[in-house]
Amino acid sequence: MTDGGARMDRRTRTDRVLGVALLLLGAVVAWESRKFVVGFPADPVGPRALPLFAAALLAVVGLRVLFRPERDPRWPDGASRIRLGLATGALFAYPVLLPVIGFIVTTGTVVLCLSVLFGGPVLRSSLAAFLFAGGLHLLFVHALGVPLPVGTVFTAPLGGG
Amino acid sequence: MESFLHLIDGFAVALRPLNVGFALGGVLVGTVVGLLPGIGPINAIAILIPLIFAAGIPPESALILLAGIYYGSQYGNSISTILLNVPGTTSSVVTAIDGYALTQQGRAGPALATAAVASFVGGTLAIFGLVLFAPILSSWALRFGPAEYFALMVFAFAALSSFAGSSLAKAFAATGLGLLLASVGLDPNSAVPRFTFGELRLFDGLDFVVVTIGLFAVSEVLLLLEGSRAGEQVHRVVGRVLMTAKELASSTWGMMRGGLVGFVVGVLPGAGGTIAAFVAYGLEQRVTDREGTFGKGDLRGVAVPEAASNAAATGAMIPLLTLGIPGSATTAVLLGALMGLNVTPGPLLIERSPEIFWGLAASMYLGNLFLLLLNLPLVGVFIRILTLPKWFLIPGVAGMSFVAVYAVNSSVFDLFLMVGFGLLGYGLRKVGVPLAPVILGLVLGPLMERNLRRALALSDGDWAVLVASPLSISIWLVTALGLLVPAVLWFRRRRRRVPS
Repeated sequence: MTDGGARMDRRTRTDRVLGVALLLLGAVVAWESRKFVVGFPADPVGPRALPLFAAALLAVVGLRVLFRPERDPRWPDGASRIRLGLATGALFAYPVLLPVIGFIVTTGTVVLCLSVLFGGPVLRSSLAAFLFAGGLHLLFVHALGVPLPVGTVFTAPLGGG
Repeated sequence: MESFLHLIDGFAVALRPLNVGFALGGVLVGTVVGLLPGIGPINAIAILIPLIFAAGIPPESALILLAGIYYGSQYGNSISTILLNVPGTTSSVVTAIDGYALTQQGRAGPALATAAVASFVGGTLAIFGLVLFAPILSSWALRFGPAEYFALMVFAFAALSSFAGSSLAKAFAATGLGLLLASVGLDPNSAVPRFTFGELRLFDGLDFVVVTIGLFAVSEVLLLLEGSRAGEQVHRVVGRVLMTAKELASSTWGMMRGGLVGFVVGVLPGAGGTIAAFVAYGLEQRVTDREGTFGKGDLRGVAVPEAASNAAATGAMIPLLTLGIPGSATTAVLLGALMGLNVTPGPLLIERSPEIFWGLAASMYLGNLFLLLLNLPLVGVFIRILTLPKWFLIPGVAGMSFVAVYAVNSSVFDLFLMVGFGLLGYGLRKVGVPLAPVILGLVLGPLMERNLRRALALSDGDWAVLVASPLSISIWLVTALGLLVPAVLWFRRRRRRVPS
C-alpha cells in the first residue's frame, strides 16, 4: 500500500475528469434553469423541476465519481487514434457534403472512406459503397417516396449564379 | 376464458398476409441483427422507425415487425454466443459458458438446436403469461393516478440504473443526462424554451430516433473501428443441427423452469434477460446438476438460460404495453416508436386498440414458431453472414443511420446532431456510463414530468399527494428496497474481498 496513492492517481484520471465534468454540467444546468419561470398558478411544479432534478442528480453523482473513481479504460493508442479521427471527420463531412453533391455521391464516398478505414480493399469497397448508396436511393426515393437531396452542384444552372 | 376469445380475434389480425410477412421478416431481421456484433435490436429498430413512418404502415403491423426484431434478436444472439463465445448482449453471457464449451467439443449442432427449442419454449410460455396477465394488470392499472405513475416511473429509473453497468453512480449519471436531454425544447405546459440556445430547430425537442441512432449505432461504429481486432475464428458446425430425443428429454423440464423464472423476472423493469438467465441457471444448477457437468458443456446449461432470457424479453412487453413503462433500452425504443405511431401504451391500450394488443400477442406465437422452423435449417446461412467482413458490414450501418435520420425531418441539422451524439455515446461507453438509462430518460422523462405536474396541479401544489395512496407508498417502498439491496450486496462483496 506504500505507492497506492500515486498509483491510484495515475490510473483513475478518466473518472476524475468525468466527475468534474458532471459536476460542472450540473452547475451549468442549474444556473440555466433559473430562467425557466412562469407565474402560472395552475402549475405549481413549473418548467424548472425536471432540469433542476437532472442537475442535482448530475452534481451528486459527479462528486461520487470524483471521489470514488474507477480504473481508467484503455484509450486508443496512436494508430487507432488516427483512424478514429479520420472516421469522425468522414462522419461530420456527411451533412456538410449532402446538400452540395447529393445523396448518392455523399453516401458512397463516406461509406467508402469508412470501409477503407476498416481495412477493406479499395476496389471492392468502392463497388460495395456505391451499389449500397444507389440501392438506398432506390428504396427511399422510389419505393418509400422520401425525397433525398440531389445536390446543388447537379441542379444549379451552368454558369448561373 | 375471455382472454382466449380475444386471442382468436388477435389471430385474425396476425394472419393477414401483410402481418404474417412482417412477423416472418421481423424475426429474420432480428436473428441477423442479433447475430452480428455491432448492430443489435436497438439500432435495427431505431433505423426502421423512419422507414415505417415513411411507408405509412398501420400501427399493429409496425408493432408486429418491431417486436419480431426484438425477440428474434435474442435467438440470433445465442448463435454468435455459442459459435464465437461473443455474447452480443449481457443476457447471453450465461449461455456462453456451456454453449461455447459444447462448440469446442464439436457439439455446436446440438447446442444450437437446443437453443432454438429453448427459445421457442421460453417465448411461448411467456406469451401465454402475457395473454393471461396483461389484461389483469391493465384493469388494475386503471386505478393509477398521476401520482402513482410518477412513482412507477421513478421505480423504473431506479430499477434500470441498479442493473445497468458496473457503477451505480455512472448509471445515475446516465439517467441525469437522459432527463436533461428530455427537457430540451419548448416546455409543453408553459412554452418556455429550455436549453434551445435560441436555435429554432431545437424547439420541438430532440427526436429520440436521432439521439438513439447517434448514441448506439454511430458510437458502435467508432468502437468497432477502435477495436478492429482480427476476425474471430468461426467454428465450423460439425454434423447436423439437431439433437437426439434423449438430449431433448433431458432439458425439457429445465426449459420450462427457465421460461417460468425468466417470465417473472422479465416483468420487473430493469432486471430483464441478464438477471433472468443468471437466476434460472443458478437455480437449475442447484436442483439438477448432480454430476457437476454444468459449465463444462451441458446442454441444459444452454437450454435453461436461453428459455429464461427469451421469456424475459416477452415478459418485459407486459409493463411496456399495460403501463407504458419500459424496463430496458430496447423496450424504451419500442415505446418511442409506439408514441410516434400515435399509440399510447397504458391500461387503456387493450380496451381501445384490441387489434394492436391481441394482434401482437397472436403474432408472437407465429413469430416464435417461425423462429423454430426457420432457424434450424437456416443455421448455415447465418454462419455465412457471421463470416462477412467488418469493412463490408459496419460502414453500411453508418450509411443506414444517415439515411434513416435524414428521413425523419429531411434535416441536415439532425445529421450533425446524430454525429455529435455518436461521439458522446463513444465517450460515455469508454468511461463506463451505460446508455440504456439515457434512452429511458429521454423517452420517459417527458411522461414523468407531465404526471408530476398533473398530480401537483390536482393537489394545489401539495407535495404530500405523491405519498397519499397506499399504492404509491408501496411503489416508493419497493423503489427504496430496490436501491438498497444492490448497495447492501455490494458492501458485503467488498467486505468479503478485503481480507483475501
